[in-house]
Amino acid sequence: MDSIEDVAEPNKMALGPGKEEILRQRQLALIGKVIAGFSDKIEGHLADIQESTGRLGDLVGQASESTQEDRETFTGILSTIERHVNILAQKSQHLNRFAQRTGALSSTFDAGELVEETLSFSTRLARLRRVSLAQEAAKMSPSLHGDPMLIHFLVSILVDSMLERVSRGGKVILRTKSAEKGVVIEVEGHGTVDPEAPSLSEQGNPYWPAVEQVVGDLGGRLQMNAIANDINRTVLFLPTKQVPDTS
Amino acid sequence: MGETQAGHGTGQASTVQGAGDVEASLGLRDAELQVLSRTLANVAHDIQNHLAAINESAGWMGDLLTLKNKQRFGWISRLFRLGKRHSDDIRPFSVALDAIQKEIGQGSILNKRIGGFAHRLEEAPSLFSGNKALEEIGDVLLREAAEKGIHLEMKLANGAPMIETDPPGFQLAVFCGVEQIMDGLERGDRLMLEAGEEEGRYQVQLTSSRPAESLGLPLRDPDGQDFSQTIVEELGGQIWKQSGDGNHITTLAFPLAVART
Amino acid sequence: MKVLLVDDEIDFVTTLSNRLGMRGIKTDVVHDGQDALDYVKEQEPDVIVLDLKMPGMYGMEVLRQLSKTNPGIQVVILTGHGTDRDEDEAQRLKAFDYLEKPTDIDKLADRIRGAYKFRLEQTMAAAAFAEAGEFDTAREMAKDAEPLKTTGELFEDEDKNET
Repeated sequence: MDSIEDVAEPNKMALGPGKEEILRQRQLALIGKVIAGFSDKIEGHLADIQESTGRLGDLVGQASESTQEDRETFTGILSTIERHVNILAQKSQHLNRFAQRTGALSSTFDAGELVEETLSFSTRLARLRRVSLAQEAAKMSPSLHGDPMLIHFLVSILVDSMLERVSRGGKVILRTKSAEKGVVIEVEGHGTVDPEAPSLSEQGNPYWPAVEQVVGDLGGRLQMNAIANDINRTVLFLPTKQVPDTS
Repeated sequence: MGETQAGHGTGQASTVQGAGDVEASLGLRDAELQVLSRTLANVAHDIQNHLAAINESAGWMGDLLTLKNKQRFGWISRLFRLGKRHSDDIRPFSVALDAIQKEIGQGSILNKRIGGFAHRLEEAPSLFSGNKALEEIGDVLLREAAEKGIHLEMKLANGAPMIETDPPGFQLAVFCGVEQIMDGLERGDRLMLEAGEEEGRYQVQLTSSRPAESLGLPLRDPDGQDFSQTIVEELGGQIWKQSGDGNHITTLAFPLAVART
Repeated sequence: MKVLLVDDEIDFVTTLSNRLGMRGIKTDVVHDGQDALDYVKEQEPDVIVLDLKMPGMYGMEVLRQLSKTNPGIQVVILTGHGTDRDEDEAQRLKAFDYLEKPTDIDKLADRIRGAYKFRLEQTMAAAAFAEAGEFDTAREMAKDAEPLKTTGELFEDEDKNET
């Protein structure tokens, strides 16, 4: 895609401009501020831990008389600490980015980043379900324009419901693609479907009406297909303006 | 292969349903809050596990240096001058390890608060500790105040009674109230938030070092009502404001629940 | 004393096992709820340190099943982010104690020893009643453990006495 096209009309407000929408905005603002404050502080703690870990590494490094086994024990422990600190730092970064968007009524943002955050936040559920989770990002990251929290809401539901459906050992892949006048986010589940896990659109799924409403309000489309016996794909199309990759 | 569609301009495919299932389904705002709540709670759980792993690793390193290993790690003694006591030799290690565990402890407290905040987002009206709910948003309020140069002090009375209302709504009401007052304050002003039992109610009292007339207009909803007042009243509480001695006092009062902390 | 650690966080539980080992508590480790139940069928541990959120079967379900099949095993819950509801449920299912990660290793070691001591006392008391011919009471003793709060308070009191 190399054309830049403005979205014809801004997204409709899902809740209208009334009291409910103000309440929602204020609540999202509070949530965003809580998350931003948390991620800032946790990053400070992580930086201090990193500093102390580095100091310990130096101390172990100075120990020329230590045995190979001792050094391996200590460096093994330190690299475990570093590994966990790095994971936390990345998670905190995702939280921070997410927090900045929370409460923004309408903004233009990178679809790939939003998907990356959703993936980062869903790793725990994937682990509990014993399903692997991966992202295949587009070469040119398409940008989205709209209410970021509604879009996050949609993508989270699509990913989590696929994670709930795919049986143990399966895989869920998230893809973002540019499409004509829009962005496509695909959630593909590989593996047998857990017969006890209801489909998102099945009767009684409490989220489905909200999903339908948001997709409609954003002027998008949602398709859920079983494309093979063990591959299920959910395709979300959202209208947007395209920003060419200038890197 | 089956296909389900939803959305703008597609028409509703035959398998699409659920919109009419009003009783079992969630409204958009509730659904959005539930998803946010679940997402945040999962992230907090994940973070806690990583913090615990770091804590154990640092603890293990400390164990290796202190428990039954003085012989094995004799090189540390030689490294930090021969002849000193083992406890002196390992001091640089201990300092760094203690620092890590201290940071983990503080990070865990923060993380537990955010986990509590996350779970609360999808809580239905229930019995809960108002003080605990305020602690969860305390960092945000203090941070906002610091950014505006306002001295905010929070005093949460020990043994405050439980209240029974909508937990996220309660947090939102206090957050809006504090923000609204802070908007009318200037750098160097003071704001005190006190919470506890008062005259058979759970009260959150906000006292600012500036009279009401200088605080500006309240945040208004589309009906022209004071927004904080609307939320508090929807929660079954009351809000009133008074000025005196150069101070402005806003009181948010909530009926007590039967149970006590 | 036979102790089983059940946690899916491999770095965490391996290190925990090493540290408890350095405090004279030998442990076996499994990484999910079903493996824990399979282990119990093979070799009944005295104490289980159990995480709540794990892949496959959640810790609370493990506790629920153990409370029916092996009520004598003492369970110490060690969770990353339990809710008040989880703690209440653990208490109802007579878990010995409920701790949150990260916890002090010496505190955990104390709780494990306490749980073991409690199991021994329960077993001995049940044996004494059985010897006296009071089989119903013995069966009840073998089935019932003290509620979590009481044992927690008991050890807090002991801690205070020690200091």
